[in-house]
Amino acid sequence: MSDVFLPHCLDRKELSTLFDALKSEGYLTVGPVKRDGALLYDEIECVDDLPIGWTDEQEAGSYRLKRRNDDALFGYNVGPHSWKTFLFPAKTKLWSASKPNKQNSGNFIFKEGNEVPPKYAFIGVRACELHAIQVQDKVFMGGTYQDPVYSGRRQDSFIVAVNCAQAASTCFCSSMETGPKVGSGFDLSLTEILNETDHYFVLEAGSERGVAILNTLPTRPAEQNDCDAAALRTENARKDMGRSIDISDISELLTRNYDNARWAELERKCLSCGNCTMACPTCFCSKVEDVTDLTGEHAERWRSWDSCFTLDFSHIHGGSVRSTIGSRYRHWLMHKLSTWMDQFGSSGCVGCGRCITWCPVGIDLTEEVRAIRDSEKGNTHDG
Amino acid sequence: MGKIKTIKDYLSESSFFEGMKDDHLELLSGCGGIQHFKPGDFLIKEGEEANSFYLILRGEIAVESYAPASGPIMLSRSGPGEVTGYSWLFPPHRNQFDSRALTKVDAIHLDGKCLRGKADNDYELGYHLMKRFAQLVLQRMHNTHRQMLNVYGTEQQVDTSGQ
Amino acid sequence: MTPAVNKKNPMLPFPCRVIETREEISGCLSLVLRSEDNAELSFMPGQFYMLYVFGHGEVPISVSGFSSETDRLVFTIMNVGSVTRALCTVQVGDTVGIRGPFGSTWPLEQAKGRDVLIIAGGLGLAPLRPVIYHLISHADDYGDITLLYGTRSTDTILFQDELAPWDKLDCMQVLVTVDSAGPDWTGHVGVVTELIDKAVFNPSQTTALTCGPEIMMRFTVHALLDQSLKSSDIFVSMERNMKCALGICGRCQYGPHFICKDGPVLRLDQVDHLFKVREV
Repeated sequence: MSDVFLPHCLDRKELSTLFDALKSEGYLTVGPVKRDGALLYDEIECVDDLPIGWTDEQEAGSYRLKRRNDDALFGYNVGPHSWKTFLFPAKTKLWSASKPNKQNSGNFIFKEGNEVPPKYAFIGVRACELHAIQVQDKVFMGGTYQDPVYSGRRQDSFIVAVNCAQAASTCFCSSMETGPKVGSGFDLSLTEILNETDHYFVLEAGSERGVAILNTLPTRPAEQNDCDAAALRTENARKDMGRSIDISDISELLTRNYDNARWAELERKCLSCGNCTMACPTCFCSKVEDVTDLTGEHAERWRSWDSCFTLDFSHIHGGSVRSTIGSRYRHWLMHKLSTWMDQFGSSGCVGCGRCITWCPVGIDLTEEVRAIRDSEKGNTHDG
Repeated sequence: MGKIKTIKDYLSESSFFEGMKDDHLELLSGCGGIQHFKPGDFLIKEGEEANSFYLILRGEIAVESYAPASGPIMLSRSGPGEVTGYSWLFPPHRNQFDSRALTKVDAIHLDGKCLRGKADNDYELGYHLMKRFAQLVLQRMHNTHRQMLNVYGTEQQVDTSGQ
Repeated sequence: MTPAVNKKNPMLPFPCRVIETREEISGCLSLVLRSEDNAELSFMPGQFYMLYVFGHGEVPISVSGFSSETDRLVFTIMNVGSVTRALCTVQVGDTVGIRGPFGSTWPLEQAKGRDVLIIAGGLGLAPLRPVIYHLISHADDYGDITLLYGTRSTDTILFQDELAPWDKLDCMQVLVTVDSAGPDWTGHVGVVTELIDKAVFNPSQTTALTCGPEIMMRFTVHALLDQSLKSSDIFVSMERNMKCALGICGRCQYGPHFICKDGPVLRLDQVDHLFKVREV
């Protein structure tokens, strides 16, 4: 077996060579940046654009940035953005149409869009996020008809994954078995090693594309102590894990609890704001808008993110099927943890904790599952 | 200080069971007990096996049918002293509508199978039960037919201003 | 036959031309469409197309014509919203965009050799008409066909001129009921489930198909189960909000089922636990 798939080490000072290599292959490098009081994903040019020396503190309904006492490049977890921002853009034009014989005519022709999808290199993809991308791959590319917007961006995307060295209090990837160590499906993975004497990365190639890039970098083969240091980082993240969820029989549990009183109780908390669906890296629901210009001769169809928490989402002649907030939360949770499995063969949740952090009233789905499970123990039915 | 009321006491005080013999009421009261519901709880769920008769003591219930988009359509409303649940009387013994508590509800629940069993064994009891249900159902049917006439749908103002 | 779905951009409709319009009951129009480039247009009974009107949007409409005709598609549309209103005002010669066919089909194979009981409510007769046409033209493959049709009043009876000819066929019996009627009505008055007692069929040898308002399908299904039909022999056609018809926008979910691909036709045993739940 070729030794290029074995771990290598790259000094922190040489990390810019990774950016150079990717750029010379025509990739648009995207990664974490510090902006608006959070760590977001945006285009980055160089190593210095990364949020060096910053970390995040997360709790249900709370997100704060804090200065670290070191200069770690990846010393934080996930922010409100996920990579779906690039693969499944929030607003995209699907096609346009025009009336060549002016607006009063009943005839029109269609025009396809000519978008050349950008070639992204995602820098800093966490284990949970890698799973989320694979979950969305099944949604957008696994059916009879593929979504060209997603597949166009996905097929050329290069993934530089990062193994977490810490976990936020809202993280629960361990119980979802999606982390903290990156699995498969990446091109390169990095584990940041930072101590008093050294600052370097343990790199692993996960694909031929990753090998090709790795070969151009000034690396040295990793030794046992490097691998041990990397393993220790992952172990640290696992120990740090802030939350857990019991998904052992989650599908059956939720399916028999459609009428649980907990859903109606959530009415008093949930604002139906949809933050969870915007932040969630696997949520894929969308709406379509057909618009015309002022002349009435040109029409366009646009697709944009939507949320199952809106009333409009389930509207059929006369009203919405899910008119109560409780029913909408129930739909979201049951889809995420249960019916997703029937539809796509895996859970829709990757344990990233974003929905917990970004909920303005701090609703925690691990807590909701626990409450439903507990309600079945010692349940006395009054009537 | 008053004594604690029994099921038989509640039944005998209700207008539905007015005039029933004491020993019949005794037989009926053996078929059930008091149940308590929170607002929103279902007493009877459409589609399920029909096995429940309720005499409402306190609170209000609505008989509903749910339609997606329109939500629950209220067909009738009942309060203290009134009854709900007759599908247990005859086959196919399937609840045809939902009966849902609008407020906190306390009700006497009588088990349908038990009631049918007692009526089969005592025809006099059976006759008196059926008489009361038949009267209630007849009244409801007439009222429902009147609703179907949609009398307000074709209402027009009389205008004799000369057209 | 190639579906009218652009594989590279499955949200892009194909242009069709309106070759005929037919006024059905008040507020309801049937459209006959032909492909602009005379391509073959196919579907199986129960399936639907997304229909696009310039600048207004798209709606899912079940095909209501003959599945054996491959040069045209017939759709029966009720004016209930902005897109359907636009569809109900198109003229012959106008362009309408189509994508499809999508969705699951009425169980033509499963019903072979068996009696078929069709229970339609209101506009629900439209998605059932293609299966009726199919059963009639393949009558030797099926047992007795019974159509029970219920609607609000005599002026909301859809496809009224076809009902009597169907009833005259040897292979088929048609019973129609309205909720209320004037003195000239000679058919039944009452809800459609009352007709089940009047229909002649062998429950263990019967496949039942029902389509109509959800409340109506629920009590129809209960009445059929009470007649000892098995829930694996009863089929319903469900409706939910729909934008993409590709299983990607997420809006048409009904429990685990996407109505656009797992439905609209679903077997009762797949959905009876959902029928019991509100707001699902």
